[in-house]
Amino acid sequence: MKLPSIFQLSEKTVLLRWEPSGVSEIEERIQIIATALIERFATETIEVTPTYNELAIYLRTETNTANFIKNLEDFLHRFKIAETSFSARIVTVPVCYGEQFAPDIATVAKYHNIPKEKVIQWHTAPLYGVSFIGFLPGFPYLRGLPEKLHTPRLATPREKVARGSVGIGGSQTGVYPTGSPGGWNIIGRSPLEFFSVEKQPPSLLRAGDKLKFQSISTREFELISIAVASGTYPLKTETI
Amino acid sequence: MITVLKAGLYTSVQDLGRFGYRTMGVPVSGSMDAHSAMLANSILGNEAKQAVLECTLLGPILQFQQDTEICITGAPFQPMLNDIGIAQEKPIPVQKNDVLSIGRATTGMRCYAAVAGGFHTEKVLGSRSFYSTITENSVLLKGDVLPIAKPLEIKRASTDVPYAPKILSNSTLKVFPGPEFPTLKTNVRELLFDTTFKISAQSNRMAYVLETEVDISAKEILTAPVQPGTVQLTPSGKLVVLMRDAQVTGGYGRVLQLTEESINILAQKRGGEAISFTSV
Repeated sequence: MKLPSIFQLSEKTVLLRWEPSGVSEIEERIQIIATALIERFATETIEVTPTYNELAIYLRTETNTANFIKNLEDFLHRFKIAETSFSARIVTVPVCYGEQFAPDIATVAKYHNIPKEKVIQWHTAPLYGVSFIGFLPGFPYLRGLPEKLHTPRLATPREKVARGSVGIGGSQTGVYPTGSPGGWNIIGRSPLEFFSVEKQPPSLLRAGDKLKFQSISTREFELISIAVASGTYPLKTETI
Repeated sequence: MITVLKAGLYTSVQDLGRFGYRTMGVPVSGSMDAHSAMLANSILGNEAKQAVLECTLLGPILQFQQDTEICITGAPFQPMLNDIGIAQEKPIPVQKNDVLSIGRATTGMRCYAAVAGGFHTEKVLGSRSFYSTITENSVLLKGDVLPIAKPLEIKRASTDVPYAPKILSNSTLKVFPGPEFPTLKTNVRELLFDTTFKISAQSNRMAYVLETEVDISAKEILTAPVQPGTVQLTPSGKLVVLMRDAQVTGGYGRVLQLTEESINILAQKRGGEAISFTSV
């Protein structure tokens, strides 16, 4: 992999920047480097946050930024991907695509000139990748929405999108972890809790996870909601 | 304990911020003018990490249920203790049942009220800073009861707060070039430094919006990390300076980045005031 460029954003923030590629391998490598960086520079850094093609490294107040950048260059030159093995978690996210939860599924179906069932079938087919979490606490940026489902955002954003809503905005799809304003087409709702300050870690999903949407009925939605609220829902995950 | 008799315009509990959760999309938060907040703690001999009250334009009225010591810093608010004016940037002893009226900002935007040993409101994800969806409330409400340190719990520390010249009167913000600065057209780069920008009334803890009458714009980018002090330029020519409650990622061009000191300076500016940028 080509080495990233190093950019000092502020007194105590350093960015690693890769050429934008849109390739999932780059994201996985950023994940691997992020994990190795935190270990190697545990005393110098507060945290690191990945996005599609950048990694922000937040330094402690007492860290000397110039020295850190020198050590970082050295670390990147020596870093070998093979030293670490990468394993991903596949998380199954149940979604009810029923009309009461999907105010825009008809619009999406009409836009592509397909029946609603096809929208559900195509949306639940891929194994999505969680590129990173941003925008709102616990909001996953997902990679892998089939091109045949790409749909323009709403002309006017909604003032309130319900918690757990699953949407399509342009080439992106994702879940609103908390109620918020939003401009995506809402095609369903998940009964899972995607962010809770009571949990450690508070975010259900993490960068590097894989995600599969699973269509459920209204009845299943209610049952899972009750299980989630009482803390007895067994999240379906497997490791690859 | 302290009881909130009147909440003020936008009063919140803030500390140095919420760290370690940015990978999960959680903003850092913390005192907008971090320098003044640290100064208030330092004058009382508190550790820098202690939580303080951030008051905006119109401060709260508070009643003390115990003896303690307080200090108010930042913008001048003309605070009164039992209807008698008190000094800012000085430790002031208060007694049980005393009523503190923080007052109104005569200039600037925010003042900070610290108590000996700090406010002991609930810590959520390692921080007491209010932020909607993370903490129960995003602002103080009338009738709230705020736990504060009991005299025996007070740890004295000597924290050196670096001297910050003229936070209130300075209107030139020092900036680093942002990652997208080199991609801007030459005339846009020049305009960013040659223009005086007026602050929009829509500015808040999340972002300060600058009114732009000059013709500047930047392309959208692939969503990337942003932080407090990041200056974003939108395709339609809006300039947005992210502040302490900013999102952790953004899709607009990051054209400039404020220094930590400049974030504090901007935090004391009101809508209608003017600022300009200069290179560090």
